[in-house]
Order: sequence, then C-alpha cells, then structure tokens
Amino acid sequence: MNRGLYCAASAMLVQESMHDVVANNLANVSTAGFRGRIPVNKTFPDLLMDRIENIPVTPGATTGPNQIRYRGKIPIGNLALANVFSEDTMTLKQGAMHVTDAPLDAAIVGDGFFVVQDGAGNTFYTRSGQFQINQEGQLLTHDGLIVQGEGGPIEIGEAASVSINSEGQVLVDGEVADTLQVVTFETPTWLKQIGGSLLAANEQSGNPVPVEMPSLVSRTLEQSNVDVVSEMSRMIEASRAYEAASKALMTHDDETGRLISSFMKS
Amino acid sequence: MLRALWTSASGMIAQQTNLDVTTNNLANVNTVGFKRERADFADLMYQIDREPGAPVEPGSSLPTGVQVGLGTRVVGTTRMMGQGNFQITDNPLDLAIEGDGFFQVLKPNGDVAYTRAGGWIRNGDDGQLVNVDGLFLEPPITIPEDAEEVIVSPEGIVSIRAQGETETEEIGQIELVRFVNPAGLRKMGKNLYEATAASGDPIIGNPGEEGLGHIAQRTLEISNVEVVEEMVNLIIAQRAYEANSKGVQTADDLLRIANGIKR
Repeated sequence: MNRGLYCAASAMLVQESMHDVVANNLANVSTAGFRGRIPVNKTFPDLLMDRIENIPVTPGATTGPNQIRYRGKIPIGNLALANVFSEDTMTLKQGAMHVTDAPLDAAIVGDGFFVVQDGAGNTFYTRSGQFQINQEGQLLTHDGLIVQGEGGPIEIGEAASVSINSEGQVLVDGEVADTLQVVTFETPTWLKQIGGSLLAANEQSGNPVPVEMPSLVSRTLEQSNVDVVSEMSRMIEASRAYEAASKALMTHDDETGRLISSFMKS
Repeated sequence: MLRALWTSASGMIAQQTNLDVTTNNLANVNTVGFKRERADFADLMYQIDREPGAPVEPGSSLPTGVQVGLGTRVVGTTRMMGQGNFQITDNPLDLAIEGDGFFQVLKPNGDVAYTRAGGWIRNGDDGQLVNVDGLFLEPPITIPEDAEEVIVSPEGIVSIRAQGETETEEIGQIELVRFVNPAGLRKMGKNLYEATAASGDPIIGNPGEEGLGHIAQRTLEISNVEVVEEMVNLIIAQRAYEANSKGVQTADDLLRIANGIKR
C-alpha cells in the first residue's frame, strides 16, 4: 500500500536494535576487559524506480496504423525504501586500567588477547585477566576455563607465591613456570563475542598470531572500554530518531485517513 | 518486547550485587582478619541476528554481522587475600599471621574451620585457648593457671614462664594451614572459613615453613579493606546503576511512542 508506511516502520525497528546495543554496552560498563559494540545502520539497497507508460512503437508517431501501444519502462531514479540494521562492530579501544593488587590479575596493554580453553578443548580468547587457581593448582578463569601458557595449561601446584610479570611470565615461588599466551588476529574486529567475556575466532578474523613482545601490567585489571557519555548520546539519538520515524508513520496514517474520508463524501 | 529492557535490568541487578559486596566490605572495615571481596562481571550472551562473514553478494561478505548482547552477569566474587594492617595490642594472646596461612578452630560438631582472626582468650575451665566465640584452637594449647608470661615465637612455639620461675617452658606448637586456592574457601561469617572442593585440601605446617607466614605476638591483623577504594566502588556502582536505569527509561519511551501510533 503506502510505501512510506513500511519505510518509517523499518526505521523504528532499526532504532530499537540500536537501543538494544547501547543497553548492552551500558550493562557491561563494569565488566573487566569488555569491548563495546558500535551499531551501524544503512539504507536498504537502493532500488531503481521505473515509470510505466505506454510508448508508441514508432517514435514520434501519434496517429496512424502504427499506433500499436505497449507498456514500457522509463527510469526515474534511485530510491531506498527501508532502513536496515546492517552490522555492529566491536571497538578495540583500550579500557581504563584499575590497579587491584590481586596477584592473579593481569591486563594487556595494546594489542592482544589471552588464550583460554574449555573442558572440550575449544579455544577462546579474552581480554579479561581476572584469573583464579583451582584445587589442582591450574590457572583458570572465573567460569573454569583453563588459561593457556606457551606449554599448555599453567600448572602452579602448591606454590606459596604466584605472580605474573610484565612479560606475561607466571612466576611460581620466584621461578618462571610458564608464559601466558598472548595472541592477536589480522582483523580482531571480526571476532565473535560469545558472552562470559569470551571471544571466538572465525574464518574472517583469521588465525591467532602470537604477539612477539606482549606488554602486560600485573595486579591490574583492564576495565570495560564503554564510554558512558557517547552511549548516552547514542541513546538520545536512537530515542529521538524513533520518535521522528513514528511521527512519519502517523502522518502517513493521517494522509491515508484523509484520502479515504474525502473520497467517501462524494 | 524490547531486548533492551532486560539488558538494562541485568546491568542494574549486577550493580546491585556490586553495591552489596562493597557495603559488606565497608561494614567490615574494623573486623579482625577480614579479607575484602570484589564482584567480577562478564557479558551475558549474544543474539546473532546476522552471522559475521555471511555472504551478502557475490564476492563480498559482512565484516562483523549483527551480534546484539543481552547484558551482564556477576561471574564471581574474588576474595583479595592481601595482608591487612597490623594493630599492636600488647595482649600476649593476640596473634597475627604475617603472610599466608590460617589458624584452625574446632567447631562444636567436630569439624575444623579456618580463620585469620588471631585474638585468643583463655577458657575459664582449664585455660585452653579459644576464640571470641568460644571455639577451640586446634591443635589445643592449654595455658596453665600459674603462667605469668606467655611467649609465642614467630615459628609458633608457645612457651610460658611460671610464677616465681626464671626459665621458660615450652607447652605447645601452633600450627597453620594454607590452601592451593584460598579464594575458593567458603565464608561462614564470624571470621570463619570452610574448605571446599575448589579450595583444595588444607596443607598443614608450622609457621614459617612451606610458604606459611610467621606469627606476630601482641598484634592483631585488621581488615584489609581500603575505605577510599570502596568509596570509589560505591560511586561507580551508583552511577552505572543510574546509566542502566536510563536504558530502561528509554526502552519504556520507545514502547510508549510505539503504542501512541495507533489512535
């Protein structure tokens, strides 16, 4: 029916998704190592608009036996009929550093991700360096995923003191036990966020490449890189754009209503 | 309904937990042997609307797709086992552990619990050492009635000097325990901890051995809560809560607008 009606509705749906992304960023404003996502909306692929008209077979002829007409198409121009939520991208900006004084907290400065493995042997990557020790003396994350060193799981055993230094070496009673694996990707923005502060590699992100000289800060946690001010402005933007699109929808509704009522009178 | 409503609600709930942990730390700012805790968060899960790398047209693919996160959750509380400050008390039965380790106390049901609070008292019946709640120190140490001076060495050897004597006499040895994962101990209140599967089995030893700390006599270890840090946490929790409440409000606005379309 009315093209504009659906167009306005699509804009409202997009702004809803925009708000979903912003709400998730704000919910994770205290999540260590969290990477915020930026929503991107785009116009629906442009359509070539045509005018349908009757065209004479012989150009210029308006009368005579050749006046056989058929329907032809005359291009008008491009028109986009909808707004779509195209993608959302992970930001890679460094989060603020918070000194916690916990010996098993570590933060990566600059590029890189810690490598962790679940019980089934699946490998994930994380920026959240809040590590724990289990009863077997292995280094792991809060969710029980085993932190990977250069030589597999990091065994700490019954050590009296454990610390992580700025090169990523795990010191157990003053001796280097292992070095934390720190890897990066060709295009880290393509990593898939799967929750639990974990990231999964895929075809597009490329294979993990070890970082030559990782730079770590021990006894420190990297905070979420979400900026409350920009999220708030994005939220206002989404809310107002939603409102504006709703007005467009209502105007269409008004117009259609007026059209129906004025034709009904006669 | 809007996903954002629940997403923001999860953020508010998480900040409530953050506040709960912070206020408990502040409430225990003067508790002997208290170790502060910290709430740790992780992102919840993602709804994949468009798979990253999905082909859009021949020869090109979506760089990032659409992954909408659904909020946050508290993934754990980490106990910060850092040393608390020392308070000199001049009471010979106040013992602080300098370094790693816990005292053992016997609960009424015979189980062993662990504590960092080393303020001991002589039991009225036979002079055995008990804590403020009356739980016996394990292994038991009994101070005889005629003891005039009690000396506890950094290695945990308890000696006394009886009235009218000049020589000291050894009467017992204080043992400490430590755990592979002390953060995995369960807090039971009253300054007590209980071993769990996550903490591992206790490793028993004499003070100063096997990575255990030394004993400091006439000293109490007070809470390791830093008020300034907790105050900053309070501010963060409050402001993050506020930001998430705006998320709920905005989601509500959107729904109101949507409902207003139909007249």
